[in-house]
Amino acid sequence: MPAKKEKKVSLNFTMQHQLGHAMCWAAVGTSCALFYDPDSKWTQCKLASQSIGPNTGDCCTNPEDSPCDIVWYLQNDENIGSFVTAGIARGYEKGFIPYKKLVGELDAGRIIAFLLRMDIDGTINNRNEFSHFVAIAGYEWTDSEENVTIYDSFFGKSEMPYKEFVTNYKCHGGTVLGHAVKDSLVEYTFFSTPTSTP
Amino acid sequence: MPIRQILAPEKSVVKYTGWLTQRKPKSVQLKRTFTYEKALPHKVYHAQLSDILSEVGFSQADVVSWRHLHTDQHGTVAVETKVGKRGQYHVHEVHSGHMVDALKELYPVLKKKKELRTSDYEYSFLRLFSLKICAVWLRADSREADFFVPLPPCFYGLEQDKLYTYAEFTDIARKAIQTLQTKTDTYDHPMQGG
Repeated sequence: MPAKKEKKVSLNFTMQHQLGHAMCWAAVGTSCALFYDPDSKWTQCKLASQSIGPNTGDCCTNPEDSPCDIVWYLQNDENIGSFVTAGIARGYEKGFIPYKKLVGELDAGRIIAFLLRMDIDGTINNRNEFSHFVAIAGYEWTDSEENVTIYDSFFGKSEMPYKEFVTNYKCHGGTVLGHAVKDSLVEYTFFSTPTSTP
Repeated sequence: MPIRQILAPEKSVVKYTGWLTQRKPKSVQLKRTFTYEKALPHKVYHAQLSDILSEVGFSQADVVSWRHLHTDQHGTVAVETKVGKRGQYHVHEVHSGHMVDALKELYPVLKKKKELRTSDYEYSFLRLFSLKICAVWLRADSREADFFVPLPPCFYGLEQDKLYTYAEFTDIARKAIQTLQTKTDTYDHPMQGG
């Protein structure tokens, strides 16, 4: 009987709690920057205010409801976002990447981030979706499973099959509250890379 | 007995114990350690924002899954089991961290609360993802008698570990939806998230 194949990798990554209810992009950017360089001294409010613009205002005294508590980017097509400001951006792809590619990134010690677009559980302002950034910093595969470890600045840590993550994170895919939603929640995959202290 | 012990569906329990057998074999050898209070089986609820804004409130919230806790030397995890299209359960995710720890630590604290001694409550988990609100939902026989305890991180002025009446919590959730409405106005690019 052939030996069971399995491999597990868990990067020494800590995800900070997001400081405002829309500041997941700042939490993901700061946490990844500190993973690559613990001495970089990035904080969420510092990274957020620098990423949004030169005259953003005070985001540190009360991050929630500050000028930084808005939806923003890790990296966009104009090269703006928390990954870019922290100097750790390494491009992005539309949709989700194959599991093997994800494993290759994690084997190389690089965090992968994702933008998920999910059902809002209703409709407000004619919108029925919202978007949220998370990071993956670990995996475990066997002959029958392809699992990942997700770090979420709101929820904490989750382990689940990669297929389940890209389609149904936090039960927000497949069928939600009685109506079907799209198959994939992942809008973009973001790559990161180590950098020097800013 | 302020908190009513409830039984999870058998198919959900089978998936939970199957996960334990596979991932935590030593714990299965110690079957005597399986008690309601250790596994704390609970329902996960989602609610429609339009319902919260209307008089419906949380009365038509949906059960999307069942969770069971497991604690060992590595910490506490919540094993979430979700029902599939044909009624079969599967392990959806294994959740850990501050939110799970807070949910577990609240149970013995809430059992002693004076405010909860007059009625029976079901220990449940409310997940309002788009609002970034999660809470222990203590469900009484009528919704107006329910209580909520927010889990960290907390926004909109909600306080961790504080007991909110149904009316108080609904009022804050409605304000949160109004805030979200303002935030969604700023979505103007498909690569934004928050």
